[in-house]
Amino acid sequence: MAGSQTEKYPGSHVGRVGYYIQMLVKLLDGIFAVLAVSALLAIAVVVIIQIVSRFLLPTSPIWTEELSRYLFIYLIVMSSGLIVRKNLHVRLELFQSALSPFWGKVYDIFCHLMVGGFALYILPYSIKYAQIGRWQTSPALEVPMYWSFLSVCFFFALTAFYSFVCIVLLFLERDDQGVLR
Amino acid sequence: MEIFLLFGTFFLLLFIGVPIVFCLGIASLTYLSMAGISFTIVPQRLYAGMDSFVLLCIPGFILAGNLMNSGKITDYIIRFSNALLGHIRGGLGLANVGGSMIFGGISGTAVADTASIGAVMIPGMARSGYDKSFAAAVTAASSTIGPIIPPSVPMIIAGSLSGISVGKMFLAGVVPGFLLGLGMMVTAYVISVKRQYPREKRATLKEIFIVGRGAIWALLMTFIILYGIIGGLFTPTEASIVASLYAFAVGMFVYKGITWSNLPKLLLDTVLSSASLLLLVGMANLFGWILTSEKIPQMLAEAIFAVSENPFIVILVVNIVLLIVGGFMETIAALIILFPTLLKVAEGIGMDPVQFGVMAVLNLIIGLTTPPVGVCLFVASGISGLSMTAIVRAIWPFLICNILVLLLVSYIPAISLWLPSLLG
Repeated sequence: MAGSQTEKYPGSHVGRVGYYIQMLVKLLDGIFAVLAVSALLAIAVVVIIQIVSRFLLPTSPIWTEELSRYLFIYLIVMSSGLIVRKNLHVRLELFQSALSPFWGKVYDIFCHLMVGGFALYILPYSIKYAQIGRWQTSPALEVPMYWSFLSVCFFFALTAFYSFVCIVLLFLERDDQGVLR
Repeated sequence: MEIFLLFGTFFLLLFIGVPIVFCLGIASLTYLSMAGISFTIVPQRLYAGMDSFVLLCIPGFILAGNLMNSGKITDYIIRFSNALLGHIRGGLGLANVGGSMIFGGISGTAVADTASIGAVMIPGMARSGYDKSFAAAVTAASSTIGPIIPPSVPMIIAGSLSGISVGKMFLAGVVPGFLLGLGMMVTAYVISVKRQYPREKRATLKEIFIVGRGAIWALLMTFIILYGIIGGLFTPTEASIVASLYAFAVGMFVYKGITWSNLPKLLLDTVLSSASLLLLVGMANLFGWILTSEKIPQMLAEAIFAVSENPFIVILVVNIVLLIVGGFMETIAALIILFPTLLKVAEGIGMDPVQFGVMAVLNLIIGLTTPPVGVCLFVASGISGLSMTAIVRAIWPFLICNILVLLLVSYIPAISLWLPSLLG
């Protein structure tokens, strides 16, 4: 296994490749963190515009409610990869703490495989679902619903991608779980 | 047959420890493939579950709570509560409960409450001569008041599921929240008298005023949220953003706990915890859709009514079902799956959906402090270093108090409905 080789030959090719993979993943983590936090800040701005215009302007814009809803959905899906990476999904933990490091790893890999496999399997169906949106436009902003339906594809794609990344990092013994911790 | 496969897969994966979101997703998938329904329903229901203007207030309230909590707010709340209640026997225990009540007004979840107050109070109480197990128990138990007192994430979700305004749900939780607090204070007092726990020096009016000036900002936030929503100034989503702005200003300029360097992590924490919650909401929407299309709510209602049509018994059965499920399942997932189902039963006996909402949330949060899956117990055990068993042994008097309030809410509609009815 790659993991055991890293231990035997620190500084070997595998060690170096592992390091680069880890750095790449960190970069991606950062990008998605920025995207998700930007969505939150954008929601705040849009909602503030909505409040201010209601109290100060004669008419309030009709697009704010819709835009904040789409931003909200993108906030959720852009975070979905990081949630997998940082193990933040809620789960029932009955026996995990009693597992040895080896079996803990086996358990982690099993869960990631289940989750990643599921997400990958549903991905084509969500792409098909997004296509339906090509024929619909949103009522206020008049953008094709495709863009907002596409969010679900991001969710499954990121979940699948990060599940497999986590498996790779587990094998490389580089699963440090997170950018900011 | 398909429905057994649905539940079988779900529980199998749940006990293995697969994340609950994916237990719901994978179980739904097995059902859909057996029933021959197109899998495009998965993204469709997931999207529909998350696409809601009401749920949009969840990240806002979580952000407001995190911003507020980044400074010394917990310290002020505890000192204020201690200044008011400390001179009674077992004063720190009572102050712990009082602190949780104030804290409940700025955070929407119980776990945040256990973690923040527990970190200060459990070691503090142990130093002052309280049993550590009592300190951990009172912290975990009183933190369940948080999701009853507004703002409350479970109440928002209960409202969005039944089409009741979030403002109404928030108000309905106020009286039960106070009853819980009062009940737990009495419980803590009785135990303290029996074990001769110490009392603190009585605070002078001046001291109360000084610490009160620090804590008032937290109380004011609860007031802004409630007044804004009920007074018709803001929608809940707008109120959550206004509360966040307020909390940011307070955290930045009054408590000075927010800095430009810790803000990114705080924002990211908010985003990630909201998103994991809302993915659960979305996926549970798919699961719930399957249950509805299989007519499970009707079947369950018929099964319960077959036992008895006496409202007293029906409410009892519903409570027992919710309590058991709450012991095993995560609050939000349980709420989304069970709430619409059991609402049918409640409406069958003429129960008001608002009252039923409060009752359901109360049931499920009791599960946060009971084994096998009591999240607040885990947190309290982590802080105190005590085993779960030790805390469970100390927590049962408080559980009785929880159950008593639950029974009052279940059988006396006025407790939850009086305040919402006053304000329309």
